[in-house]
Amino acid sequence: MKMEEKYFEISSENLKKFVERIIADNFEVIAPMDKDGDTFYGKISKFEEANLDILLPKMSYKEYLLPKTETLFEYSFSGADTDIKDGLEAAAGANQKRVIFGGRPCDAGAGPIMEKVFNWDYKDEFFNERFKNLTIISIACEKPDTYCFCTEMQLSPESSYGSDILLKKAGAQYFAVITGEKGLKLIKPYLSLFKETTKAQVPADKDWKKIFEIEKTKSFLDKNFEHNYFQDRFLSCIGCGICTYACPTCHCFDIQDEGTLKEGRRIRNWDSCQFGIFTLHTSGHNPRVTQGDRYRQRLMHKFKIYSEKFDKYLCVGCGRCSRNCPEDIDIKEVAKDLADMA
Amino acid sequence: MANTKTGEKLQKIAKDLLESGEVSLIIGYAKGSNPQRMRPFFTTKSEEAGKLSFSPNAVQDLAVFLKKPEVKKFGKIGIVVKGCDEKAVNTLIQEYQISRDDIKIIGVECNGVIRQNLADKGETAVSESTVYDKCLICEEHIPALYDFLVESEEPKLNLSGNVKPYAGIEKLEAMSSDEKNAFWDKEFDKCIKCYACRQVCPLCYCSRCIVEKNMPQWIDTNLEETGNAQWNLIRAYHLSGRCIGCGECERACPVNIPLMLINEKMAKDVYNLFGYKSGLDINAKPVFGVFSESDFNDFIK
Repeated sequence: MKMEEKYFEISSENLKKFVERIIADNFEVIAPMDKDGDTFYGKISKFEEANLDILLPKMSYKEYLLPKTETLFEYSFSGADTDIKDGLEAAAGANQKRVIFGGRPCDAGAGPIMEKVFNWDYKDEFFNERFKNLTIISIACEKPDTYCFCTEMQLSPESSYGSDILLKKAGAQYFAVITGEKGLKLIKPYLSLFKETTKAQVPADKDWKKIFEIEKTKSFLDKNFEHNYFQDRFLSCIGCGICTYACPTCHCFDIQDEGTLKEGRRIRNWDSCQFGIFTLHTSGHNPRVTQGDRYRQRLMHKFKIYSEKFDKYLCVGCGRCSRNCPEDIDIKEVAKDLADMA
Repeated sequence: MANTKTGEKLQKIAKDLLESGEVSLIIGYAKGSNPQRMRPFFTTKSEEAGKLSFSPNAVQDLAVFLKKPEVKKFGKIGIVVKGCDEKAVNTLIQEYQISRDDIKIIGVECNGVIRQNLADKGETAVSESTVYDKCLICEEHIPALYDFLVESEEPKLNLSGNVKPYAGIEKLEAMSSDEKNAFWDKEFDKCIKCYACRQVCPLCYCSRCIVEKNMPQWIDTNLEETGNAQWNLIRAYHLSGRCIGCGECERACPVNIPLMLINEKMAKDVYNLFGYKSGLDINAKPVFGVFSESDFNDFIK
């Protein structure tokens, strides 16, 4: 049975102590860090390295669930002997005691959404092992920007969905919402830094407004596969993979073998539906010829296909694809356009 | 902030071109997803020409679209270009990718575009410290070739000389091979192979890129040390003597790899060795596409 939520108060000072103590106790702590003129998730060695003021790091922390390249197994031949080394052992070992600290509710929401596809028919041990070993401490957003649309995507700037611990700032202190066993387990050795409280004490969520209904976007997509909008609007799409690679929920991968006749490995690499070669058949036929076809696919997968199969939209409304698009394609604007045409 | 007069002039040119049937598609800029952004805008209808606009936020090199099959099918195209972007048009003509007769070049005089990451944070001033390095060394504020020219409303950049463009190149040149390797290993380690550097490049037009050729697999597919280094090196070499320095690869790179250090270093070397600058003359022979008896290398004679 799922544990009931628990609530704690923690001062900013104690939060810093908490993070420093988990680092000292050999947790790998991943947090937004300033790097190369922007902010990216990275491993911090002290609390000050974390940038908690930034709305969102440029890329998501997806690579801690689905690394950009992951070795599934390694093989080597010696005479008549074949030696196969399972990549899972390495994957599991590398992930014990990892904490994401200072992410946002949208990023946290991506985990359980992706978990569905990785456990639908085949149970993906690599994903599951990494996800199991990851404890997620998110901070509720106070000021989303114009590219954010988590509220439209059934989350909110203060949603605790997918977070093991959600921190809500209130003046000089934080309220910590502990959503389950994993979060409780993490803070247990450090409980002296926290003060238990009740739900009533935690500031209520604000009334976040939506500017469109995602169900309407879906209903447009249900009926308008051939609509001109896709070809016209995405004439400006250059077919790079930024939107899919910056996305916390896009999870397509390509399995490849690399090596020689004597030894090698099977790996899986990130892949993107925005690449022309993604759907290119051996025959030379490509069912998705234009970039309009490919961007439509991304919309279909996010706002129609996934929700029909897994009851969740494959988008958390973080807006990274829009902020990072070199040609300024704004998915929020697109989803709203479609909803308006429905 | 959009440049009103420039916008109006662009709209008039585009409207006339579409109405007279001289072109069937106009590629230009329109306002983007926030007041500090512009975006590519395509239209086939003269009544939509009013959406065309220009500002120091017009960062994209629109010549990239000339390689796209979906765009090529329109036939005759009118394209709005800054001086840097126009060099890409010239190179595409030089390399027989497009025909001069099919393109109406609507040149815009440009005195610099604001770095997008700064603009996104609210920067509105065009200055030495806010524009791209390419703007600081720009010699084509007015495009080298155009059918129409729209003058700039922005004042000329005031260059104090305190900001050194591409300062990283000198630092790299001073490094030992091991130090250079370490520098690039660290940079390429960030690469996620989204191929935005390739896709956003107007001169990366192969219909099947070498990374997509898998019989044999020339470039390792992994997104780790070997695969990333191979990809970044092959991309660089395929652009040596060709890159026109629009900087789109570096602007697009979501993990901030300083790709222009490579491109500019190559351009500098090509100029020093062969006296050639790319993209300036549609009748010039591409530097690596021509044999010259005066070539300084003995092995080729």
